[in-house]
Amino acid sequence: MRIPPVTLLLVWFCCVPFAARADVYYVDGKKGSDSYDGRSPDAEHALATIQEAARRAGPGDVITVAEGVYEGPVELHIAGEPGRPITIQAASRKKNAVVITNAEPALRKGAVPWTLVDESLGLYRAPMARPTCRILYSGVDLQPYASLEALKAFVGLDGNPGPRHGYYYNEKEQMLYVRLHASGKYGSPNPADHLISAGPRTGGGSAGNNYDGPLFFNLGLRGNRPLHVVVDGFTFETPGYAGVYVDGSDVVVRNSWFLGCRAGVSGRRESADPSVTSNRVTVEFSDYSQYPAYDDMIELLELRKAGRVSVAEKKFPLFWWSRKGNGAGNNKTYETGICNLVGSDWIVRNNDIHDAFEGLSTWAIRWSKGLVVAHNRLERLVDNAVESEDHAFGMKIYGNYIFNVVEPFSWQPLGGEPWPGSVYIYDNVVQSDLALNQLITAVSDWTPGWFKAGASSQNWEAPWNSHMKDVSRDVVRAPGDGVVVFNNTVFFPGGEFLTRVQPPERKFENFRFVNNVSVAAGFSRQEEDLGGGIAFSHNAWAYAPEGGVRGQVFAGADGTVFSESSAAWIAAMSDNVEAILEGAPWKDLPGTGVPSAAAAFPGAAEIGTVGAGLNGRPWKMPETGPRE
Amino acid sequence: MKRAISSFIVLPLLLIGFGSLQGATLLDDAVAYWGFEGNLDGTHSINLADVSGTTTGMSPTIVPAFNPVSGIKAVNAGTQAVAFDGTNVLKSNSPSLRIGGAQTLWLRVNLGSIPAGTVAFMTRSRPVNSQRGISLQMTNGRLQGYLSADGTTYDTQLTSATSYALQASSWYDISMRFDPSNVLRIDLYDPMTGTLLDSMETTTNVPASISTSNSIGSGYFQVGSINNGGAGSSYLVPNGTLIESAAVWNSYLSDDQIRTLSAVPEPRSISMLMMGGASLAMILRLSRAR
Repeated sequence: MRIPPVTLLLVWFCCVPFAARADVYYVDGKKGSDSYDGRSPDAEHALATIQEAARRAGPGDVITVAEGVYEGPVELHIAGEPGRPITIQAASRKKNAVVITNAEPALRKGAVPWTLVDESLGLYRAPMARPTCRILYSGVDLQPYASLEALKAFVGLDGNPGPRHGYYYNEKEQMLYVRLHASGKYGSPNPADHLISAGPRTGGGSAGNNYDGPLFFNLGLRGNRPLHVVVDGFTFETPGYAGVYVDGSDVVVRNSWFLGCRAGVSGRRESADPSVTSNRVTVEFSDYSQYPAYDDMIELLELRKAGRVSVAEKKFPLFWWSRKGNGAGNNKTYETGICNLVGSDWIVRNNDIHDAFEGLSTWAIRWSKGLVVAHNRLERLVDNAVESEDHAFGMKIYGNYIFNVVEPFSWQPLGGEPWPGSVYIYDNVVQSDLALNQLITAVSDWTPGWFKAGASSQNWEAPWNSHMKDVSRDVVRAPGDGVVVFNNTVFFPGGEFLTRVQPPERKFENFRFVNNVSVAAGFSRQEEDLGGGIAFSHNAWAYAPEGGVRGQVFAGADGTVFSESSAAWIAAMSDNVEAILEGAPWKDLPGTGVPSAAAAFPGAAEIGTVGAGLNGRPWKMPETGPRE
Repeated sequence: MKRAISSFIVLPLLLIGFGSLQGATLLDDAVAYWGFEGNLDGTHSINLADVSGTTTGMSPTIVPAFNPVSGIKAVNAGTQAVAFDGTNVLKSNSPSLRIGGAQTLWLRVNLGSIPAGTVAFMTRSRPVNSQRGISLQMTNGRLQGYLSADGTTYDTQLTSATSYALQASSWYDISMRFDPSNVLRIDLYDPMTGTLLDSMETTTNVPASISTSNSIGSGYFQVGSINNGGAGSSYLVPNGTLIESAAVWNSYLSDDQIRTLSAVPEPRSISMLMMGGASLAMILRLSRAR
């Protein structure tokens, strides 16, 4: 049947007014003007600022930002609607294509001359009016030192050595001093040869991670309400703390690069009360790095091994923790991660989180509820991939690939009750190089463990834990379903399973390790440690290198200890991880159901296999990072 | 053709002037704006008086001193600034400045020194017990903001131990904005470069309004100190301080408006002028060729 044109026209007129319209506003910082209409990307129509586009955009609209450098902070008061978010997208998702930066403008443009102060040290200085908390030279992170003398000697506040490049800012003189790496491996040691990005001061609070003004962020989504905003494809550079600050809830940040960002995405505050936190935020397919934090650690370990740096006597064995705050004070600590001040129901997935101190630290997730950390690659991290302390509730960590992270998982509360839990860790693959664990052991008289756990005495004795004075110290019971670690595959040669941070007489309760594979040198550094209350069953253990004796403890009831030579295991572990998993000797081992994890994984009660790749489903390396 | 030529000339000139025009409109909208161009006159007939800050009742008035100013690159920069010797302050008892709701305080200042302790830049009202309604001040070189709804306690305290430390003999544009029940915010700009040096805000305990009663203390609005009633003023700005201009709005200015007040003309405008000139030359040459 042929429909008359008049009818079609009528239908069109009737439908169009009710259809959801999506307008596109174009921003071009180089060619645009805020007096234009913004309806085309060309120089006659594009707007000049993201702020102006945001003022015009409504629910369902899209703001497309042309390549270029946009000076932050960019502060927006916008909100979409459920199903009709406002999308702010970069015209190109390539690294450094669309940059929002809080870097000091003149320094970044190379308009400030550098003066060579000491040629023998490679020490340069340049005037800079405002304090800073992060500096990059051509994308390479410079760690702060507490004084000019400390920078000259590369020594931290605790007397231990720091990275072989760094900066010091003299606030009184308003002078920035830098020493770039003399080896040339990060380019010229002359700062004039680099793009220098010096962010503003950091945020408030002892860790500098509390929002205290717009310099805190590159892009701020303001308004403590449901925002329904999608941020896509930007490069965020040297904010006071976070690339994106989410004042409200319901935001997605994806395909973004976080360079010199203390955190990638931050909520508004931490609280046990979800009505005052930022909730339902997703961070996905992004890249977070503090490069070269890991390489700096390796360099310090190698220097120590060669006897070329000395360490402070009788101090904490982890002398390479300069970035934790030992370099220039706790409020500049690198103990941060891709997120900060996480509220309820955040999702962190498919990201590359690498070359940093932490993946997700306690400052990020202390009061998180329902956080999902899934299908990320967490690689080359100085401390932990994911911390669950102090009070995380309902955290799920699954499907991640974790490579060369010194101690991948941590359950180490310092805030007393409520202890972290439920925490579910499953279907992850952990792989570390034998050389890494052996190097750390050789130079520090300390060996990493792939699971760090325990409640130290601080939980009762620290001044902020007065609510704990009547709580028993004998047992630490994880609440809810507890800490449930199941069906992970961990290659951790030369390392231990457990780093125990509570005294042996204090028992773990409601901790379960089921169906896991652990390839490691030993159970824990404390020879008498048998897990202290942790329930083990149906796990598989192999020694690498051989020589340990407590693998059976980890294997637990109906578990398996392999007798293959450690050389074979270590050789196998250097292979492609998916190939290893495909031909794994534990493939046919019987696993068991994990009913206590049913709230996290619906098929948990019916699990019948061991290791990552649940119930015979092949484990796949996650797809991660910004997609062009 | 004539019209076309006019457009080529006028457009770049308009673009150059746009920034300053924006600023001028903004200043016109202020409750009061003081340029300190050799006098203490403000817009809308709200003038300031230069008085001794150390004497009871803040009297007598004294003859203000003005210093020449040059080199500030921001638009709206004047040629003179009112000078402070460590004893004098500027005051007004205009009811128009007793604003209870949203407001913005702004000034361009160059400090003679950075003294230990507190100095006050712009304040209003002395409620009781040395408190005040609203105060933009600096302690040990770092900016601070205070609000009190009833004069008995500070409802809102905006401070930061890590904020930008001001230096002596440098020009700064400082603003403090109050959005009732929402936020108290300070922005610090460099009027030589237009760069945002610092920005801090708090949303904690921000009151719905500030008392506008002038029965609380003297009710004076002051530039350069806070009023301490019978004992005179406290927190006087130090000797050698210059204030080039100041303003008060009875609204919460937007971020863009604050930025505009410190904006330095973009080189782009100059390049467009040159482009406009080149276009004019080309058109004239074409006209002659015909």
